[in-house]
Amino acid sequence: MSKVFYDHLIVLDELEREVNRTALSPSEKEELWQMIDEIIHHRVLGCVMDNLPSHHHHDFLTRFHDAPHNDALFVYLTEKTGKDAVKLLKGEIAAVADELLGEFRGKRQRPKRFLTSKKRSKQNPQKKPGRQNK
Amino acid sequence: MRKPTKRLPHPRLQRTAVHPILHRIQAKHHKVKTQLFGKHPHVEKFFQDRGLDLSEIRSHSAKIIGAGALTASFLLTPPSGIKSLPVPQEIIEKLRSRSQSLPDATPKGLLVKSLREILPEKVRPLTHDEEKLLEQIIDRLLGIKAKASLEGEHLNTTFGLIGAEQHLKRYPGDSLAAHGAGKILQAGVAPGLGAWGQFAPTKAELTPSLEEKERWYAVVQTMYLPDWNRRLPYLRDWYRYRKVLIVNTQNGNTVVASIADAGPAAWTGKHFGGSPEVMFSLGGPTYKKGPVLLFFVDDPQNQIPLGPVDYTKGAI
Repeated sequence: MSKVFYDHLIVLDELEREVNRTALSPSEKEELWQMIDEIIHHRVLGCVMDNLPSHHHHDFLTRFHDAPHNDALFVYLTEKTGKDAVKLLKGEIAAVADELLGEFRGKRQRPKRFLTSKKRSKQNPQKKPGRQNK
Repeated sequence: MRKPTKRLPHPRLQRTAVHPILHRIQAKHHKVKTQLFGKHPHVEKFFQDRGLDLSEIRSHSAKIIGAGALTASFLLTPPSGIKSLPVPQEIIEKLRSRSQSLPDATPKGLLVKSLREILPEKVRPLTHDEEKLLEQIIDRLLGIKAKASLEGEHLNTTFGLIGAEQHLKRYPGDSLAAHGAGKILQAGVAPGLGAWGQFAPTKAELTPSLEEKERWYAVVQTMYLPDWNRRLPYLRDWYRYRKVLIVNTQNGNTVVASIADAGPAAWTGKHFGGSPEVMFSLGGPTYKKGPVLLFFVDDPQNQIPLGPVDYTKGAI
């Protein structure tokens, strides 16, 4: 059985439904599954590296390489980051899932701060953009 | 003046006629990877130095777990045939005597109780001894020769979570209405094909046997088998329509199914899949996910029909 220590945090039912709705050939479907899996691994590792003090990076990577399935990695991360590692990784996985769902639904989920004032006023017609208020 | 060199896209993006969603996820995949290794180049170097790609972390993990289990079995298995687990007859007799006056002293009730005694609370790959014991109990109670390993082949796990799948397209132009009637149609038809393609090239060539194979199909994670890519031509044929016995470990409902698709993805948290009919038989109309045992059926003469298992024909 293939397993990584944060597997139980990966609950992507909605994404699974989207994948199942897509008409792909069997090989394309497997490629898609693999890429989603890899995206999650890269993002989780990025999240760990961002939150872990740099002098612990090598130690963590060694532990992860030696036993990717070991639940004790959560204890290690919580101790070294001073944050709840489960909550941290759960949040990151949820964020990736949202982004991937956005890709499936054909929308770029851009944060609101990137919207132009025109688009923002379209979304919220009650508030007028700042410039016009002057 | 030197011409500016055209930057080639990522190798995965260089193909043509890629499904749009696949293209978008490929681009996302490339971006995420570049971001991680751009920000933390020592991570890339760490894995490079160890000859491992982060994308292979699951197969790497499977190898470590496999090696650990093997070592443990060498170190912990008593050398002189002394088993820590009781013999199957002992379990069955114990349960039978304990529940003689109870209404569930049926083969099905005994199977559920035996499974409760043997199986761990959470799904995990079973040990060789646990699998052997279960094989014998199934043989005694159901009269079916179920094997965790058959002809040297073994799945990554025999005790895992099964999830509901959709109907599969059996021939070009197949429609949902042709798959039966009633609640069983609610699952819909998968838009793509199963891992082994269509069951028949035309509707006229769809035999009753193939129809049964789709009706009672199972999905297993062949793509995560450690030697899948290395032995692809052989394994692809070996697994195609391979008969398996699926036991709902919570209620004892049992189905004989044939493997007709590969999956589910590792990130779904599930290990097997079942057709709408299989899921209905295992747990009723609302059953979508649950723990099951999945063993190969040793049936070279093709005598065991697909579908729900009749306990009254057991060999107890």
